Amino acid sequence: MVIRILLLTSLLWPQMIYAQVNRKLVIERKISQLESFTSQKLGRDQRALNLWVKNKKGKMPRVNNRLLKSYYFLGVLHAQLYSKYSSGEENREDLTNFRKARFYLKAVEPYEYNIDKVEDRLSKMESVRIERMKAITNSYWRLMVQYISYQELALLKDAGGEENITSPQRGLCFGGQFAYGNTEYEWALDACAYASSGNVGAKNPARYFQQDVSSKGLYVKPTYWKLLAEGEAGIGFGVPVLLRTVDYTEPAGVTVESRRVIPFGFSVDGRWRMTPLMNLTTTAAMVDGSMLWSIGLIYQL
Amino acid sequence: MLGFLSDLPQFLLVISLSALSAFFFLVYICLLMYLHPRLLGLKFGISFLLAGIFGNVLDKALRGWTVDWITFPWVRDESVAFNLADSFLWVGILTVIWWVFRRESDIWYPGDQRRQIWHYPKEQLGFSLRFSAIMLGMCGMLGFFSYAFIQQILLPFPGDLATTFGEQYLVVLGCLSLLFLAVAFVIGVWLSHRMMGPILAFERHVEEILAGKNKEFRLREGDMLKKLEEIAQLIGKTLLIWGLLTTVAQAYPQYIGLQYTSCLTCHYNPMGNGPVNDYGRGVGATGIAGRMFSADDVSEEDLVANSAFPGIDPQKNSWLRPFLGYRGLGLENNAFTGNSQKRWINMQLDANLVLKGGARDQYIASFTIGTRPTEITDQNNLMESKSYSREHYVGWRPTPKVGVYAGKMDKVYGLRIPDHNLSSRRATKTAQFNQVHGVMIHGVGETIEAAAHYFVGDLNEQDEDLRDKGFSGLLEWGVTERQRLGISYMNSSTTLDSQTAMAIHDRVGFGKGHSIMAELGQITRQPEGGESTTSRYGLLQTHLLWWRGMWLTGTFDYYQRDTTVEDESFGVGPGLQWFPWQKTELRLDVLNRRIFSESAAPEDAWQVLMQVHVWL
Repeated sequence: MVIRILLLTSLLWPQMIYAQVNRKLVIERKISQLESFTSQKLGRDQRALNLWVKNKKGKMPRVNNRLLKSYYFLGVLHAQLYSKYSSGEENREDLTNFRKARFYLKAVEPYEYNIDKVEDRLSKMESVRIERMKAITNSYWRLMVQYISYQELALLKDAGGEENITSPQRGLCFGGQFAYGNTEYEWALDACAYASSGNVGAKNPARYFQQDVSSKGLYVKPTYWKLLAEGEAGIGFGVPVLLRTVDYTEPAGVTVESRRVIPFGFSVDGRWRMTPLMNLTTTAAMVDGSMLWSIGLIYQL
Repeated sequence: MLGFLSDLPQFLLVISLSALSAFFFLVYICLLMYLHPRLLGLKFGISFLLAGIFGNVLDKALRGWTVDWITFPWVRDESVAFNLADSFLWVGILTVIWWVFRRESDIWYPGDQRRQIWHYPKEQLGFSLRFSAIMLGMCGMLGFFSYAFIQQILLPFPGDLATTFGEQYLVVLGCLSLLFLAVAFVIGVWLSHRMMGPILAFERHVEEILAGKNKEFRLREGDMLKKLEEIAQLIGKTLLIWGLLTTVAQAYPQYIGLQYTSCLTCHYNPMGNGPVNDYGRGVGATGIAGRMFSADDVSEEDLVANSAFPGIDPQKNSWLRPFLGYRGLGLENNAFTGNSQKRWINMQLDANLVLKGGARDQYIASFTIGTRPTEITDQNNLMESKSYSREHYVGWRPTPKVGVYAGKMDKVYGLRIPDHNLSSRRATKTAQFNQVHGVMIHGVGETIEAAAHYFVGDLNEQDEDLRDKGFSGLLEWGVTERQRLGISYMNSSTTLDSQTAMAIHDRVGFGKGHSIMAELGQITRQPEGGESTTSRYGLLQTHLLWWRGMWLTGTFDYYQRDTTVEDESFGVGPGLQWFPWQKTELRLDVLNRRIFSESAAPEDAWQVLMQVHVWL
């Protein structure tokens, strides 16, 4: 019996050994064959299914079961390439395999084609990707523009004595951000040059009042970002520091000086990915016992 | 095993072999008929297998042994010999094994979820056993009849011969009956599998619907009970209608981050606010609220079951939905200063009753009675309340896409955020106690949602000359599945002044639960006999879902009372919105008010708002 089986299968051994040694090559060849078979023999159904998968509009098209089978295997093969034979660095080839595998498997999912295996494969592939992305850390350079407002705290000294005065400032800030992290977290350092203006005055404006006092400075903020939904949104905790000058006008007998030389505080930040390279970002911070807030855009270079 | 047949008399041998052949042939024909054409290889394998069996059986039956006449000249072991029937047998076996194990996806129906044979083991086993018992009974009757018949024929023969023939007949009959019994059992299992398969698929379809997925239900090509497809379609349509009609104590516009784009999904009132429907309660329990105080063994289904009003079983009671809600606000003005003012405001204590009817719940009546602070601006009386009805209206949706509502309800305008202290609600007179009587028409499509509202003021609360009369409208367009862009317009007047407001808003969802909402608007007021003023306002509200039930919020509120004067006010602050368990919402907001004035440099003002919101 054993001899019979060995004799019957002996012709297949070299091919099996070759297939095992060159597994990736064999899979790629299979994919190529399967893709050309699918487009040649099942082109019409394929177009209908692709269109529906992309748009998800209208009724699910009835397609040949062979197409589903073909898509299922294409999905499985791409998933194998992605999961087992990738560089692990999520390079272009890996991403292509991941996207293709997801596309093919997602296409057959509504038809419940091998649904258990499809769902299992998709979730495994996704967890492989998440684990890899976690392991990959990158650094990023970003440009930022923000509308910023804070309250300058000053001390008024004149013949009447001393009085704490304030100046609500607002202006624009341009700068950059260096960030380092993965899909779960980021450490970022923002440096933003700003120019702002605002009135300053005593409680009794007749004592002291100055319109549009300008301030220039550098707004620096190291931030830890906890990224949500793989970076689609994020919550940040930062330590904003202001290095600035304020041009107070000091009439004779009056001195106005800032109550803090280098104000700093803590911030809660939010960000939302508007496009793959553009984020909307907001900051609410307690700096120098008063609020600093900003809203702006960050563009990834 | 079949060697004993060689001892039989010729005619019995022929009869037995014919019966056996006929049986195998019948099975073979059945397999050829019922196996899918794509399984040609398997059919060949079975044919080879059968041919091999027959070859060997014939040899054994006729000779008592098989003639293995093919040998390998280079193999000394003489036992390594076989015949043509063996070759057929092995080719058949290997082909069948290969098909069964390596081409299983071809044998089983593609995408088969029902791969296992026993879907409902108890029922299927019962059916198969009963089927087999019937077959056995029939075999027994037939056997008894034929045995008696043969005995009569054999009577003229000598006694030993008759006994030998009779015994051999009984052995063959018994073997064949057992074989039939086995086959009948297999056929019973197969038939029950074919019947139960569609039922199983339908059961899974219903489970998916209950889990919120409404996929198309399709049976296999050769399945029985195709009628189930039509029933599934009908259920799908009905659910869609329910979804549109009755599609939470609180569902906020921010829930676009959870892919809920329309208020109609969760509220009885298609423009939001007021009591929520059954679906909304379910969403609130499982999608919005956290489960910090739910034991691990409490399933999501249990949470949904507990989301209903106490004593109301939505399965049994289809027409009555009571609702009780309370919202209290702890407010601290001038916070973090020496002269802060703290107070507690019972903003809302409402009892509501929704009556609904019709096959699609197309008739709705909602009545709310509750309390409100006597004078929101009079700080001395803030703790006092008076009775107030926030809404009472009737609604009719002749089609799932269109509805008409008449009675007291909120004005149709802008983003219906729950923060009534912000400019987008306060300045436009769409805050917590600005409900009006009127008629609203609402329409919803795949990507468009629109509503028009004609109103005549609050007939209960306002004197005639102070009643807001006018109309408003809102149009929202679904740019993508996660983004809604909208415009609003409102024109209203009292005997003292008139007001025109217009706004553009946008809602965008990110990831799961994260969102941004923005509204920009302009209001023109024309006092009777005075000069008109134009105000502008802006709102940006952000939500980040930190963990289930807990949102970190950010608010940017902008207001310019008069566009001719450069006095602008900003309200900015973070907040926490927490649904620790279902039917409870806790909020903590800190708002920094900063005024940029032409002629002053006012200090910032701080507000701390703490809300407790519970409902049943």
